Amino acid sequence: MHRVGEPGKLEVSIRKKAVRSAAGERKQILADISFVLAPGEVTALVGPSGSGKTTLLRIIAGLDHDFDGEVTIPAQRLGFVFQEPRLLPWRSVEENVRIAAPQASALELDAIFNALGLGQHRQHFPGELSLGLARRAAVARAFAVRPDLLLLDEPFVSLDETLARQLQEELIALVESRCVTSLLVTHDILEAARLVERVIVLDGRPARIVADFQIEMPRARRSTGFVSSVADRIRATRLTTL
Amino acid sequence: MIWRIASLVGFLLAWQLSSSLAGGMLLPSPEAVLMALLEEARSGALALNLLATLARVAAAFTVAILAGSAIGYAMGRSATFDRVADPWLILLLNLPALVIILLAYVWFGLTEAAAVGAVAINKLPNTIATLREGSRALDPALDEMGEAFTFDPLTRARHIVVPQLAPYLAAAARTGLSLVWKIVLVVELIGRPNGVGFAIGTAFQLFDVARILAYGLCFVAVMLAIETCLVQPFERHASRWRTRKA
Repeated sequence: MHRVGEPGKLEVSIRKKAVRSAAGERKQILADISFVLAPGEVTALVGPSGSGKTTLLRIIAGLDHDFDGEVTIPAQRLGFVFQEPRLLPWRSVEENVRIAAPQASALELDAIFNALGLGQHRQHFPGELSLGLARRAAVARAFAVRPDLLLLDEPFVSLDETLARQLQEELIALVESRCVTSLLVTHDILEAARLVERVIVLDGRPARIVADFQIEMPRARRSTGFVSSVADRIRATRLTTL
Repeated sequence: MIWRIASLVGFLLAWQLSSSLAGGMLLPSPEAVLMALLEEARSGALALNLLATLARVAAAFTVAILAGSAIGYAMGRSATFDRVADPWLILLLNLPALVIILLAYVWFGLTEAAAVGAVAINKLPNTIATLREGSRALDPALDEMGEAFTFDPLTRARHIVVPQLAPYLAAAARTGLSLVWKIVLVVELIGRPNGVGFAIGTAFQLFDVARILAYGLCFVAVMLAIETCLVQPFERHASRWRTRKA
């Protein structure tokens, strides 16, 4: 079941999620996943590839209804940054954002485009953009809808290190300025340790929550050493279950 | 451009040559055909017949494209509907145009509606088959994006579905136009008191080959104009987002 609840709060309680493979076998991929995100909380969902992170995100977004359990999402507006940008190739960057967020004012759009360094590219078609710029456009679209819940599915994957860092900074600045409940799916443990307030680790087959902890240190004060110690902690939780 | 003109001049020369070999009765010279055309234009018959035919082409074309797109889209999207409707489609695709036309006239009389309807039904299965392929190829990732961002049905249609179907619509329109006008002539020949098909039928009975050619070429010119002035600009507009290769 999928329903709309109080503002800002996300409640997930999935007992079971199975998929049928092309060969016709039924395979359970998620088991007993439950957690609650407080309003404004920025959380990372970490786990190895193929651990069902994207599936979980799709269930939360209401794109997949075939599961056993309950999901209560905050209010109606949802911002989703897919793994691949999923822009409409036949519409300009600006149109892509406007179509998703018809209520956004010109001022708001200016602010978002400028924050993401897209000012020069508003009239370009997605095919004319590099992957990094297309990713930014997808982030701009997700923010322009003024989301109550922001879901990010590996938005920095396959970008080079510098670019990924830069986009992470921009994204976190936007998230903080708007105080939006966010769930970031990633397999990059360092990225999680650097960016979020809370880490949920998925592992196993079917995937379960193997760890769920807060990172108290404010983001701005996290040193490289601190980040790598947190990363070690995340790795340790995964190893114990394997 | 130069090659096109050269090719056209070559065609006229070949025509002139064949005409002098075959004799003016069987194959009138370009000049004789032009005279026949001017004659028809002067009497007003040309404009009347062309307009009558164009109106039928437009009506049948519109009906076939609208209905065909809707049915094709539904078949491309729903596997169940596809299975149910597919045998009908195959039947319709293989039914000779002449049978449909004659049955329409027998059942509904020698009326305008029967004529236009018969042409539209001839074009319909072709549009359905084209649009079905297009709808099968729709990108599910973009559907999901629209769902996640709660696009309303109109926004989805306008910004997600129609742009993806544009090449298929253009293909259906292009093959449709040439098919429809040919069948409209047959419909007119059999059961209408005006139109290019009727005029050609009359000319045939009088063995007036010049007039047959005059009407035929005139109509080709009109259809070429529609293709260049309507279909091609639509295609260019619909594909402007595709980045050109350097």
